[in-house]
Amino acid sequence: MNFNITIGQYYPTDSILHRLDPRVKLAASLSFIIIVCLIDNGFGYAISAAFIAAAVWASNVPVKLMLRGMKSIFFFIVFTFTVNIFLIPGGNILFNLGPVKISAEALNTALLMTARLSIMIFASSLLTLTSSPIQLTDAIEYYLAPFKKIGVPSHQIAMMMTITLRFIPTLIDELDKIVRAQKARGADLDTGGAFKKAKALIPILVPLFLSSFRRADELATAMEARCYRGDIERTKMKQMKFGMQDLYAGIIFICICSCIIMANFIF
Amino acid sequence: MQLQLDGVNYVYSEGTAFEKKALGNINLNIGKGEFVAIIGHTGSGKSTLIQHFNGLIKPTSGKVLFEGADIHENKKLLKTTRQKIGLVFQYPEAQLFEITVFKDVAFGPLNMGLSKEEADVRTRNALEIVGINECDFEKSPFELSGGQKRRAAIAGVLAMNPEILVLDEPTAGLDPRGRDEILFKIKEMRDKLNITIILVSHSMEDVAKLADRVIVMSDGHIVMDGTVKEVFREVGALSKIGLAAPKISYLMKALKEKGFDVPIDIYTPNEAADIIYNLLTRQKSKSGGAK
Repeated sequence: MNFNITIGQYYPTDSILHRLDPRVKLAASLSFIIIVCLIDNGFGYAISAAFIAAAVWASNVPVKLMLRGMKSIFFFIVFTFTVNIFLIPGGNILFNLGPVKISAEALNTALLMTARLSIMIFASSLLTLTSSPIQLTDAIEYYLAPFKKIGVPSHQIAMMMTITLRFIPTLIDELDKIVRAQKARGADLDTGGAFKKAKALIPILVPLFLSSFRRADELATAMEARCYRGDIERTKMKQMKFGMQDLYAGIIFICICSCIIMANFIF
Repeated sequence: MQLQLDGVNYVYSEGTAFEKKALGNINLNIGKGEFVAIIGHTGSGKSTLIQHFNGLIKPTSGKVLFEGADIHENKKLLKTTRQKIGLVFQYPEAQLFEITVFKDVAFGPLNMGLSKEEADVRTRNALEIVGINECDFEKSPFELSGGQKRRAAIAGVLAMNPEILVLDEPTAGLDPRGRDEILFKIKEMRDKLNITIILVSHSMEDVAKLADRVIVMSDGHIVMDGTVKEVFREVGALSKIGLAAPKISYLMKALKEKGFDVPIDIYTPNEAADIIYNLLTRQKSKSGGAK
């Protein structure tokens, strides 16, 4: 079994992107993804791709590590590309491979879709690689705060996300231990049909659920024992600061986005 | 030799930034019927080492031989080895999952492909050895007490009739009574079933009481390997790697320094009690004679 999850993992190092305010990064990557979804022009994509490449370079994250985390999504991109190129009808036939026809429109759409998906994935990976989960939830809490007035429990949502993220590695460790223990009792997890494989998961999932319930219970008790209460204007140990570099980054980002949008209208 | 480790090295996450050498050049022979204790500080590689014994971890280099055959030679051999070398993990009660205690213990034997009747017999035997009463067989394993849960989990491994039983800290987190019960059962198993037992422990008292041979691990290496007396004699070397001899030996040493005629290589409270008793009666009769 392979528990190697790289996507969504924080890569701790020092770079301009790491030092930026997570609120800026979150807003920028979200709006960037939306813009990339809306444009449909080669020049726009060229600028976006160049921008992303520059951001990757500035992030100090090894490109190899980034690509490794995207392995599973790579299949999805190839799949989209293939479906698009073969299934979109069009008049202008470029290739004619027996019964399969590939039109210029299809090639165009397939390439645009691939570019769109790749850029989106790079943008979102950059966000999670350069901001720790805690920073991200802080940023989300900040953006949700205005909705508190209409009854959205923004602090509680952020707290739940933080706790969930915090416990993922713990549960992976636990899972690994249980798998080993059951293997030592002769459990066979890798062979057999789908039904047999699903059944083989019971001896692993039952103990895993039990231990996560136990952990949740213990954590709740520990928090209560320290008189934790949710939303009562808690202060933070690490305050987010919007500094000069965040301002510059924001201005540069807005300029680039305007270029992309203009390119889309002009060409 | 029943179990043999030949130049075993193990490196965690090789080739990544998180690379860590866990075991370095381990050479080890364990004979049939031995009672071996493995001691060492947290992170010294004890748990990694014992997972090599039944092939849960494949060495980065080197060989693990069970009865002369390399256990990683083929998948079938690995599977049978896993049955013959029973491994009880730390806090084994965390792996209980079935509806009843009986069914949970039968999980291992059924995985071995035994018939239901045969598995039932083995399950019954195993539960009897660890001392779980018949009236608890149909209970949910989660209704048992901490010590009982631990014993049921050990029975789950024992039911596979292993030739070597490896126990990782079997008494961790139990109250003194539960601890004594488990240790007593382990001793009993060894005497009755005549199987090889490998015990990982933090408690020097338990080790002194049960084991014949002690292996000391530090920093992924075996630093000492000998009888209980040989190893615990090296108090200086032990304390250098964060370990100590059984507490009672310090008492004997203190008595010796005060001028009493006692041996200092005594490692169990029972032996110490006898010696001190003898010493006292001797002194009494001496002073009685002087009168």
